[in-house]
Amino acid sequence: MPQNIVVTTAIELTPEARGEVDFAVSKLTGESQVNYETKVDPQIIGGVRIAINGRVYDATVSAKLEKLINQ
Amino acid sequence: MEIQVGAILLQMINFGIVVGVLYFLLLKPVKKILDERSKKIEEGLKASESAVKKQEQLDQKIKEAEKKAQEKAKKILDEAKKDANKRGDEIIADAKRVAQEIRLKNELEIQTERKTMAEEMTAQFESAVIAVAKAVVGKSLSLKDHQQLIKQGLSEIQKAK
Repeated sequence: MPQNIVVTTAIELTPEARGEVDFAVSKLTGESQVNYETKVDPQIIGGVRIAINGRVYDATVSAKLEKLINQ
Repeated sequence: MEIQVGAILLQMINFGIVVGVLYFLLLKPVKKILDERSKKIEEGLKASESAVKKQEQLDQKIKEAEKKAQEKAKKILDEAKKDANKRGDEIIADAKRVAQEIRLKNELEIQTERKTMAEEMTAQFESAVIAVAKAVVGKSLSLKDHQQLIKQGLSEIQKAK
């Protein structure tokens, strides 16, 4: 079953970073071969956000800042 | 001088006749008139007494009626006062209840307004802090920093799962 996966970063992924993202997404989905869409959003400041079929794993700097302020 | 007995007798007879005529023609009708007048006066007196008695009875009845009317009026007045007091108490109770409702409503509105203002201020503060942080941190991050953050983020995501 095809999965809708979006990976968001603050800058374009380098080949090295893409390899690490591939590995992480494979572990998250449990599939060895995965296709995903990449997005660049400077608003997240840094880090990475992975959305798989609507479920969001957010490890961005902006998310951490918001969490810190809400505490 | 010679006394004429015959003439005296004749004079006496004439006087007697005059007295008899006067008695029958004058005294009797006068007496009748007087009797009738007395009778009328008596009747008038009786009627007057009766009228006085009736007037007294009427006065008595009027007094009783006045007394009853006064008692009734007093009763009505007392009841009206009682009703007015009761109504007054009800009006005061209603006014207090309405005032309490308005006070509670106002307090609720004030609390809601305060909460909204606090939330808005917090949101504005958060936005300001995030904007500043983004501006400061975003500009100071190098490519290496970004790579490191992505690596760290992926590691956190895998651990979180």
